[in-house]
Amino acid sequence: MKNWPLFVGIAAFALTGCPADDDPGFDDWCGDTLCHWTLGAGQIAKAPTWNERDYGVELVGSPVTLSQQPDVSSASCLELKVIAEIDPAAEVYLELDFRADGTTDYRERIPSVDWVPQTMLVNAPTWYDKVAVTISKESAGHVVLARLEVGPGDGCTGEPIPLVNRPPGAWCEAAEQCTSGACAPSKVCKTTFAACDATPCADGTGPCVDWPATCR
Amino acid sequence: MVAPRLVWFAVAVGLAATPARAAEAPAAASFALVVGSNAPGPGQAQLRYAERDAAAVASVLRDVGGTPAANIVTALHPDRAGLAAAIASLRQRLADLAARGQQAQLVFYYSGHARADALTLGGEDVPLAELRQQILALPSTLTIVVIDACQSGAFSRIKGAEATTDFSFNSVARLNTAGLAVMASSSATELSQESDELASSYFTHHLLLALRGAGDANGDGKVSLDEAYRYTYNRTLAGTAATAVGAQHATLETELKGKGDVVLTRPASASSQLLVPAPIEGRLLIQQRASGSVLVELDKARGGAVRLAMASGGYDVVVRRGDEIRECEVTVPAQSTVTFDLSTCRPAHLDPGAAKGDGLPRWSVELGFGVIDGRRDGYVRTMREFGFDEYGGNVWLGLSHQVSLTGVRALGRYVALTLSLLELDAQDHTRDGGADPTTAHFGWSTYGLGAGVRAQLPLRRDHVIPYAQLSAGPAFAVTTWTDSGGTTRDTFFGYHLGALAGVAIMPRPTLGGFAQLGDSVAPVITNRFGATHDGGGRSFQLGVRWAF
Repeated sequence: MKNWPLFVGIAAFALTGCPADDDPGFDDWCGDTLCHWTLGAGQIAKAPTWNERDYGVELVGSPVTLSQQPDVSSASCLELKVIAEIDPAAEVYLELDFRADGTTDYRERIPSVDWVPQTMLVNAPTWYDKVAVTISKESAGHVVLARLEVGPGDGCTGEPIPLVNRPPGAWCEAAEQCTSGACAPSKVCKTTFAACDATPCADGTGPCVDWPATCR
Repeated sequence: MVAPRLVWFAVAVGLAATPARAAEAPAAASFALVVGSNAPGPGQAQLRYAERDAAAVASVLRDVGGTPAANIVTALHPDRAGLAAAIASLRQRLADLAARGQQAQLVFYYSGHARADALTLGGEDVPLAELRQQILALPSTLTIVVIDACQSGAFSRIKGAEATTDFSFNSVARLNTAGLAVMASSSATELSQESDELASSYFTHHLLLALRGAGDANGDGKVSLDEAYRYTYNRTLAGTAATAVGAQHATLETELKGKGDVVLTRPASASSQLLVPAPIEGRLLIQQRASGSVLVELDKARGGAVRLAMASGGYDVVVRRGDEIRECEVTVPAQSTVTFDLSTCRPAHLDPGAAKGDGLPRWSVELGFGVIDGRRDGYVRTMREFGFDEYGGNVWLGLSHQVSLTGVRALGRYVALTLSLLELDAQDHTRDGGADPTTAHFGWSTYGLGAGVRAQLPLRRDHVIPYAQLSAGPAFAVTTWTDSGGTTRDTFFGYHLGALAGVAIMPRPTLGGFAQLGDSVAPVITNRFGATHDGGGRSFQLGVRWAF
């Protein structure tokens, strides 16, 4: 079953297509707003970082929320790298919403730093098709964000974040993870795995998921 | 470059008990005691070539002087007791010969420091009177004492003889195979010198040449005491006349009985010889190819052949007649005589800027191109953390290009000043914008103007010049940021330090190339976080060099 991340990735691509947005920096501004981040609340301003021309975003006042859907959908271990200048008095949180369904599945406070890169590892759910990243400032204090990189990591420990309400065809370990309440063996190519709502293939070879897989 | 050194050359020929008709006596056994010491006494400078000279004298006496190697005692860097022991070892052997009625000839050579009335062996003095007593007490038929040391007049004063400042062939008639003579390379008030170019003292260098055959004025294949002295006197005087220390005049005094020359060497009987034919005229400079040291500097007149006893091996020969210079390579095999053939020589270019004792052009310009391994310091790490690639733009495999233009002004043969304009660092990094279609570029170029000092060691007739250099000077850098918002340039000023080592190869005196390895540091560029980029780095360059 060591190939399951491959199938999770294939499934995620099939179900979601390309993510809506992906820019680890805060340097691309469209007027007074960030081009690739969504301002949910509060005010932001352009601020220089290591170079006068390399901009970051200052989170002005409180509360302020910025969110984005990075191009990550298959990694079992996520590495989040933050470069920021955060005043000790400021409370800034990093939140992950797997499947971007409005439910916060992971929340961690970003420590006070002075442009020193901070790295967090998140043991992602065994299956997800997209993830929304939100930065939330919840108290006063000086905060400038320069970069937030989200990508595959290595070295995650503990149990994966549980994720329910998985759609048909999604990887599953138990029936309660599936919206349908059914998790059965399925088959792609010559590999068998469990998926929500597996159905017989059209050629009658067995349980099948209609994924755009190329078998060799 | 010369090192002041007082040198004497004294030859004493001990009176034999029965000198009459010595020329008709059976051939005398030859012995030699050769002593050299570079060690200085209090207040004296370390000598560089005294021990080397002594070893060379021993070789010549063995090769062409007819002295068996077993009969040569060489003492390098001895103390007073060591010298006494060496003399004592010969005393017994000479006494044994005398007891059997055999004649013996002894050459004693010393090269090193001395004070007014004593030799200096390291921290110990050996009074000249004591030395003379020991030497003259040796039971030899013919004793030749060579002392190459400071304050040469002292030995003559001991003998109560006047220094001979002129010499002619007429004096040959007074010589005999037995007697007493004193020859000094410099007067009591003169200094003598060592020469780095000759890798020897002037006097001993020319004495060795004379003994190898250059002094054979009458062409009989033998070099007599008279011939050796005449040659050495003239060449030493000519060679030292223009030096800063001043001229030195070799002197000779003799107390000889009987008839016949005192033959010091027989170059014609040497196993390996270089014969310079009679028609060749001009100045010949013969260098040992392996060591680069000058073996022979011979002013050859047309009409007489010169036979030089030489060790087998390769030699580079430069023949100069007026402004015409020709270069040749000569190999002298073992056990054979090679006739120098001028037709095998190739023309060489006259170096207009060369001066005696210098030999290098005063000015040169070097244009170099190469690569530099820029430093991955905190400044660069910050850039990488902010998404820029480590290598980009003109950076290839971690190396960026480097260009330099250097002017060199020689202060002497071994030292030069430099002024360089060089590109210390040039990098261009990019950052993919992700969803942002615009790629950001950030790069910089750092330039330095450095003044430096260079130490160099010309070798192989100045065709190969290794060097090392230190430099420092102002530096400035320009950074450039380019993205969809336009281009911004910032300028920074600072300093740079550099060190390099290289070698210049000069096939022609005025044109050649060089290769050098260097390292430089130019802490010029800073970012808003306070991190400074140390521009420069390890570099390798190839270039061309013009000398004028």
